[in-house]
Amino acid sequence: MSGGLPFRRHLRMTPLHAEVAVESRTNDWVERNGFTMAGHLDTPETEVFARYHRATLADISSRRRYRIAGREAMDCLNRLVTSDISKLEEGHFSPVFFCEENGLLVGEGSLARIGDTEFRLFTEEEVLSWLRRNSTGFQVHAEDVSAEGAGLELAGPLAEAALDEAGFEPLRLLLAGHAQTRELMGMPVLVLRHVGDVFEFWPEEDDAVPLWRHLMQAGREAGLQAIGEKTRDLVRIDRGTPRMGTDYLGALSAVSHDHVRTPFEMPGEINVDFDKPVFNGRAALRRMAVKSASHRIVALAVDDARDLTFAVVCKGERQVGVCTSLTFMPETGQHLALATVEAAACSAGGLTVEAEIRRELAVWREKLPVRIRPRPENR
Amino acid sequence: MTGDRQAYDAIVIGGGHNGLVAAAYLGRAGKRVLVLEAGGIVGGGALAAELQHKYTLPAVSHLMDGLSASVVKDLKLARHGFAYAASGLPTVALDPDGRHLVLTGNAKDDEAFLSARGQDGAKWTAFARKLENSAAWLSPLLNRPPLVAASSSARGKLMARAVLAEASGERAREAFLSLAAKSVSDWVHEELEAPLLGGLVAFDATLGSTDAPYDAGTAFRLIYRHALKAKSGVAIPRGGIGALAETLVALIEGQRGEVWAEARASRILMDGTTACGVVLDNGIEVSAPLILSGAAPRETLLRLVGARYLEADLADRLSLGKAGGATAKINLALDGMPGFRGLTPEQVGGRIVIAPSLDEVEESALSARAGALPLDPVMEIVMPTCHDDSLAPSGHHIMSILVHQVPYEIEGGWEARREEFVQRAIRAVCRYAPDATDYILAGEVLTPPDLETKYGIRGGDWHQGGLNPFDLLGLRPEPELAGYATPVNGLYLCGAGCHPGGGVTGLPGKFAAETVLEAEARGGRT
Ligand SMILES: Cc1cc2nc3c(=O)[nH]c(=O)nc-3n(C[C@H](O)[C@H](O)[C@H](O)COP(=O)(O)OP(=O)(O)OC[C@H]3O[C@@H](n4cnc5c(N)ncnc54)[C@H](O)[C@@H]3O)c2cc1C
Repeated sequence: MSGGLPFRRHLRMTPLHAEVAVESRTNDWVERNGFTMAGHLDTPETEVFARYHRATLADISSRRRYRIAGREAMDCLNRLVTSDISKLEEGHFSPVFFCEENGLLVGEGSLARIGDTEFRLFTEEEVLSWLRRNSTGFQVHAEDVSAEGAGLELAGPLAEAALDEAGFEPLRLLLAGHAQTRELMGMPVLVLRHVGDVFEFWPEEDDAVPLWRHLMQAGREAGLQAIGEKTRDLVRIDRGTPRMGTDYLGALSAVSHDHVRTPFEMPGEINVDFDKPVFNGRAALRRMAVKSASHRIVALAVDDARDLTFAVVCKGERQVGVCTSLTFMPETGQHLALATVEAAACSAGGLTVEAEIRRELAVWREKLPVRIRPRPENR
Repeated sequence: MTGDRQAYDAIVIGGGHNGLVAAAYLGRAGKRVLVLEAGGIVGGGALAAELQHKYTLPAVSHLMDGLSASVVKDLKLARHGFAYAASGLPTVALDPDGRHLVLTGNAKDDEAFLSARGQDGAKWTAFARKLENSAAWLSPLLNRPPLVAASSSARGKLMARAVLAEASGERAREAFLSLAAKSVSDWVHEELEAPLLGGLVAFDATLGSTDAPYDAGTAFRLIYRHALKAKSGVAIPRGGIGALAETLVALIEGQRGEVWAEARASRILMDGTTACGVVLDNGIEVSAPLILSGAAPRETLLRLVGARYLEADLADRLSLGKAGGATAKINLALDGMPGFRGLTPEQVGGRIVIAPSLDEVEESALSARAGALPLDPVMEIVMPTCHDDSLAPSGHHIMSILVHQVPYEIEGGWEARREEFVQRAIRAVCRYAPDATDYILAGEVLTPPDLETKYGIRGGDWHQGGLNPFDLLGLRPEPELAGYATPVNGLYLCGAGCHPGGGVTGLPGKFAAETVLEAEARGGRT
């Protein structure tokens, strides 16, 4: 950060900004965690097609990264998160949630075990002060390493092919859930592989541009396309994965508890391990576990290809939820959304959204039927 | 001390009076209890220190006004030799011009006395009645364990549940709400005129804290202290302030229990997340299925157990609690009785307060807060030898001076400022008893840090933690600890850090022991 006034807003650029800018045909930029990131680099159709049928590369340097290291790093983190990470082996990573004392989510992210006593935590939101507060009483040090290095995400069905072209064949053998530092072009790069052929590369700052260029060049054969945040967001919504700060708020930053969620309200598998005797929120979550959650975050689809937006989810005349993420899927002509909906209203059908529909300058309202989509693993 | 890893039914960490009371209640229920006291003498804030083998000094506390009658009765303390040398002591507010006020607590007498001197007679009666009435609804709440809420969420909601729900009746709630935010100075300015009375009330409302009379919540503190007062009024035990601890030790030993002095707990042993024993700083390990700690909650949970066994929020809140000590002690051995101008010998045996006006109390609070010594320290003086001549050689006396509003951290450091502090305090006494210095043979000075290092009183804090309305009842010391049980299985708190707070009452110890026994009777332990 430059020496300006502390409250002046600085839009920061990632180490890959110039490379990404070269790919932009849209001049569409968005802000993520204070960084200027690409919205779309090309038309949505082109990007989405590449992501679902070819391969894509994206700058993900705006994600927060924390280094947590020390003799008792594992103990400290195991009290922090709701799942049991004592089973997390070196070279692996796992999705984690963490709560405060009332069982409300403070953060979420991916936790990678880099070494016996060293971890990396990747999150959307700032959590350093919470990590520091959690360090008291443990031999551990937590620091924000977001400013170090950069992140690249290679994804899509031809991602492996792109790796081959790039001469990174051994990465094919990396299994989903692994996080390993590999030597690529003579540079040390932390590589994470997610399910669905998503590879994350975390090179050092100086190595980021050469790696980006190399992948872009080598991947052209496999139809590799650079994409921006909006297409990544579309994939996230399609997968039904809520994001803190967008679909719900962190318990330490939210003003109203209505906008804060518990692990039980999240879609998918509930990631709370009560066999672990001490972790933040345990007592509260245990009380909660016996009751059913009042709200749930669900994935929605509106089968209507018109130009429309919506926010309010209704059952009959009554509002039962709010849509927090919305995108248009060109492949299927559907609007996909994530919404927080009263749990009781989720079971039977009959949900509608109050859509605003546009045609050129005309705007009108219509109630459109909406359905809850099953989670991707069940699809 | 014998053998490694002795097995007891329960271990009590801390031989303060509350730890001893808890041990005696458990012993009464047939448990074999071991008490571990870090210091050389038991008693904690209520212990007697020997000086030159001739003087029995009230090392820290010097008066008892709140020892619970139920504790005395349950433990049959009288039968074990505990008695007061004097009770119902009058309070004497010293006036720089010699027009001292003497209050007995008897409304009629006090009104007559004050009216005769043109000092707020009727106003004082009205004030005292209001104090009495407010204390009357609080008192039952202090004499039983608090209601506890299941979670620590939303302090406001908790406040409503834990505090207001207990105050039965609309009027009591109104009274509480209007007082919780009020300062004692507001109250005094509304109802009293005489500066001496204002000073006395402000002194009592702020004693044992770093609060100044203009701080919100001080009106409530006054009521709180009043509500904890026992019927016997201000009293001095026979044999000195340490007599209570001594009686309790004899009682515990008679129950097959043991009390070890110079046995500092350095760690609580854990079996998974269950407390199962204690390691002493000399390496000895003792085990028991039940551990009670009369040390401060923060000390117990963060240092003896460790933050790792707690949820981070709780650990965080405990670590934020500031040490609130602002009281110092000067204990003097005298070879004669100094002449207090304008006081009868009977009055010299009372509780003597130097706090000429509310503003002087305010001023010394502000200087203490700034890390400075007050120019004119406010203080409470007690001469226990007026009532008990066994405490000193014949004709000799003990003067116990409790100096209020003394900073824990002082500008320039206590090493350099100690002498100046003593000089100022003695000078203040000499204003009323000019010949006092002629009699001083020896003495000891205990600054707030001294109280910590010498007698294990963390931060020199009277109450082992704050005492404003938001630190009380079901919120004390933290909502999830208010029921004496802790998140650590088998570990309970039993000191003044718990409800109903500090002072020599025995109530935290009693309630903790009763909680343990009730939980056991129910078949669970937490
Ligand atoms: C200067 C001063 C004057 C006071 N005057 C009065 C008064 O006149 N009247 C009155 O009613 N109240 C007075 N009080 C308040 C009163 O002293 C306390 O509120 C009371 O003593 C609290 O009792 P307790 O048993 O809960 O804790 P404490 O008396 O503090 O006892 C705790 C004990 O635990 C021991 N301990 C701590 N850690 C360990 C460890 N790790 N291992 C083993 N042992 C440990 C300590 O050594 C100590 O003995 C005064 C307080 C102060 C500071």
